Amino acid sequence: MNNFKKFVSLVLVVLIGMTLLVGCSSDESSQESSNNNTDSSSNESKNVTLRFMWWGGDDRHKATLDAIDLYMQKNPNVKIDAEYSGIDGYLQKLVTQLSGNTAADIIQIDVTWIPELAAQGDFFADLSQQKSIDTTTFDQNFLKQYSYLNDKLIGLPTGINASALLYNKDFFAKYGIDDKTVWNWDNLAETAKQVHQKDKNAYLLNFDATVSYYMVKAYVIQRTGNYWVNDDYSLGFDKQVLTDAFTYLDQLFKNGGIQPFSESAPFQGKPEQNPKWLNGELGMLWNWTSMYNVNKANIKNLGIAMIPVAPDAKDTGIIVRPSQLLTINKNSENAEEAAKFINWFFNDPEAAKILKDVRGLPPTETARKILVDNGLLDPALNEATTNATKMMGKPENGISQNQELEKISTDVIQELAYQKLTPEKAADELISRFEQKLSELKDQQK
Amino acid sequence: MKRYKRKDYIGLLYISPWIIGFLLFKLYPFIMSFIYSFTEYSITGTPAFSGLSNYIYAFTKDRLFWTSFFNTLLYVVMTVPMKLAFALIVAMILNMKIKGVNIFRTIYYLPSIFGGSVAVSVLWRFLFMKDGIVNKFLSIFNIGSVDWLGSPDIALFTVSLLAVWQFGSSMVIFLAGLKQIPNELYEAALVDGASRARRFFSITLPMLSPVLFFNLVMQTINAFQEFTGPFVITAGGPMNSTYLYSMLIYDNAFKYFRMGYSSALSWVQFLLIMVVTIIIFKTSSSWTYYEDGGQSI
Repeated sequence: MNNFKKFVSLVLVVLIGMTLLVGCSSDESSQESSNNNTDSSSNESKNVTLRFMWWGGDDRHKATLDAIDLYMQKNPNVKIDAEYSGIDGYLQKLVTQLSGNTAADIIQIDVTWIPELAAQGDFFADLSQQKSIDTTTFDQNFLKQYSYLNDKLIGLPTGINASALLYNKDFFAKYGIDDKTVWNWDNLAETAKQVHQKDKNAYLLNFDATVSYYMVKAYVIQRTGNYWVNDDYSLGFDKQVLTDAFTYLDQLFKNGGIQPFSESAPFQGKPEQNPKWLNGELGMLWNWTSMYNVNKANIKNLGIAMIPVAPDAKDTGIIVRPSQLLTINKNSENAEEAAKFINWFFNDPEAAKILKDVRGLPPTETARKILVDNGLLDPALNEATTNATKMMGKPENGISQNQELEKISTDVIQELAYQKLTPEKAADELISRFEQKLSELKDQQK
Repeated sequence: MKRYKRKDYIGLLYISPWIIGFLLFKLYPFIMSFIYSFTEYSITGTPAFSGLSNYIYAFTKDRLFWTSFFNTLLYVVMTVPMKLAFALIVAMILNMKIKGVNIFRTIYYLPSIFGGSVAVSVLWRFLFMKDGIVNKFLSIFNIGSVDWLGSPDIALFTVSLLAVWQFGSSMVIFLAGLKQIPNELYEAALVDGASRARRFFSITLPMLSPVLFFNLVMQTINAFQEFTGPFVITAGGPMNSTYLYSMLIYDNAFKYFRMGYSSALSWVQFLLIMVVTIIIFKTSSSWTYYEDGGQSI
């Protein structure tokens, strides 16, 4: 009897240990078993579960979940698990999942990640091989520029995203700035100066170090017509041009065009949360058209304009790119079902009506038309994106978007903003740090 | 003899969940990170052996290595004494016989439950920003507003205040230590006419020194690894003044995908913490007091 009790307790302990271990293993096995259970009940087509992972804000989550519900109603054999979150930590999670082979079937990615992800391995299925996806509705040029990697169509753009200035119309009215102004570098600097002279608490520009980096890049590219950094890892600019760009930025700081970093520092990387911007004491944020809706939720009278372009610019430096890409995991067991869903997601009129512009201006002509006909598209957003597309510069190459170069640049820009460096010294500093980093990166490529 | 052995076996089975967890999630990553630290490894793909190059790069070429290294040292030196002093003061107050003292003990422990959570860090940002509550409060006393998070000279201090605020766990341990001090000692001292300060320095502190030692070691280790606070409140800025060592590890691992390099950085951090802990242990014999002459350690 006593031995029996011991035996039972031993078995129990082993069982507990095993459940702990099994609990940690991937959930694929449990998915499979649930599929098998339901398989017997339906004879029509195979039941599949797809995982769809994206990031976004509340609007996007709600619209996407509604679209998924509708799709599941129409296709009862397909179950879609939504895995959604904010952008914070999304890439880190994705990379971990990709390397551990536990990533979702349908994955939303950002185009700026492609170079770095591509260096890690081959993760995404070639969508041009999927018969069920109709890609003719997309602008083919746009697809070519951003969605191909080594001749493979790795994703489809969820929307068109362009660099833009978001501005507060009430702020403009208060300081007598013309709503219709076409911005260039001169009138931007002049207006910024005047605003601060009128009101010591107001600043025209809501710039953090990252946004300042966008501006410096655009300024330089407009002068040179080159890439920021060339594909052979050489610099696309010389010291003179960069010094001019930093001098321009420095003047904006000194004239009160930009809110001092000592005040805005807590909102580095998230200028749209700056309370002064939310209270209407900052006029303008250099950002993306895809951020229009997010900011519109907080700022009642939000306008959208084109970034400053010099009259004699060699390249406008206006970036027009996909808001994100929807990709299919190369290791997905249900790639065909995933492809069917993606086709519906982009090309179905009902899907377009539900998804509206939560991922920026829709990429297909048909979806845009449906939204315009139904009055679901913000005319200002539509106009700004269309204009930007007309004037767009050449697309950024991979190395120009490198994260480590961005870190170096925002570090140097902060030193300029805190007046630890003169524009000329800042240019020297940036160039020498870029050259060191680029030679390291080049060595790694070998 | 045989019986004894079987009992051993069952005991091992009972703690097997912990052992398995330890082997899989602690020891295995620990060993692997050491191996990876000698490789170039980008999370996917295969690691390529590169000798000591990661370590050499950290010490000779990576300018952010030294920035974050000294930031972290400064952070530890600021945070740990402030936190211990604060925890001890609160523990002594809560050790007094006050009505409803248990409620206060719970309340004061709450910040530690909130812990290093993101929400609290966001709250910190709004408390200490330019037009934040702290500056509004100071303006009542005609003190001009301070760039708590915007000035490269002050930001690290502001961030370290968050850690000080989470004094609860040290406080509870201090409280337990204070309860252990025999009341007779204080009574005897009172009879001899010892002042409050005298009683504190001659009775409380020596009797509490083993507890103080424990808290010092734990808090030092924690402070070296601080991440959430500076990451969320200031993102390492302004001008990298709050860019701590663990953020350097994070950036290299998850932003630049240099797993090999960040493993090497982690090992440098581990060795640094170990050296500091050993120093604390070595010096402790000269300032800790054990009633049983230190037999218990």
